[in-house]
Amino acid sequence: MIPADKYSSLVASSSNGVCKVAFKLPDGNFMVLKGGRLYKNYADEDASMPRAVRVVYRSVATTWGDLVEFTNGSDGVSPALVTEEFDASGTPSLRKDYLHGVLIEAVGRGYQESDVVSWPVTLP
Amino acid sequence: MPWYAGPGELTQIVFNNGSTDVATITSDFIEGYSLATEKDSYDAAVGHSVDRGSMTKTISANAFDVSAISALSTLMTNRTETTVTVKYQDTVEQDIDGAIIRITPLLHNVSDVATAYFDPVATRRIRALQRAGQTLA
Repeated sequence: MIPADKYSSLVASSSNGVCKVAFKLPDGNFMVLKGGRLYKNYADEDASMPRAVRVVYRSVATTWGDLVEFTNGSDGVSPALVTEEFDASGTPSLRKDYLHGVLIEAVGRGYQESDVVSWPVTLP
Repeated sequence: MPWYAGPGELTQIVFNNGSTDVATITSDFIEGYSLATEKDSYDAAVGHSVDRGSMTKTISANAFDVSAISALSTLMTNRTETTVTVKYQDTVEQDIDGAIIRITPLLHNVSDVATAYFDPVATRRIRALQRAGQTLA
């Protein structure tokens, strides 16, 4: 939650309100959320948040690379600009420091066990 | 007695897109592996669940091998029917056939499976400097 007066500085929207939000990381690089839009809603009034404005940044895409990237934030002169998408190919240098891995879920579906599972190598 | 992987221990998970092994993750990069069998059902309306009669097998694991992420992301985006092969220490292999992959990023996550390196030479030098009232440059 950020104070309400911050909202006006976050709506610099050039293309249909799509904007990026960058988080500066401890080593000086940035994690960037991208392709999203900002909206706000008024939080319920309770003891912890008396009349608060909640600013929400939400982006929707089919690939993680359209949602998250890592960059050194350079202007491209010195040092060279380095930007790595979540699913970029090649050897990562920036993202490996912060994107430590992925949760994998692999789901097979069938009407019987043998549709889903096979044992190509078993004990002799 | 040092620890050794015993029979039945998982050694690798291999992802095959139908023709090629596109990602291989070794067990030292895997944490929290599970394989669950569940019935397949859906909600036709509120309070009306329908048992489809089919079943699902779900492999779930945290993989801390960043070099595999691009290939796994491609499998997810293309919804490729993937053969996931789980290899065990005693050479037994189990396939999950026609699996659909989903991956979720783990950010700022300190893993139990990360390798810790210990340099006894540097450590001895630090201790010698500490005894002399100095610090390592």
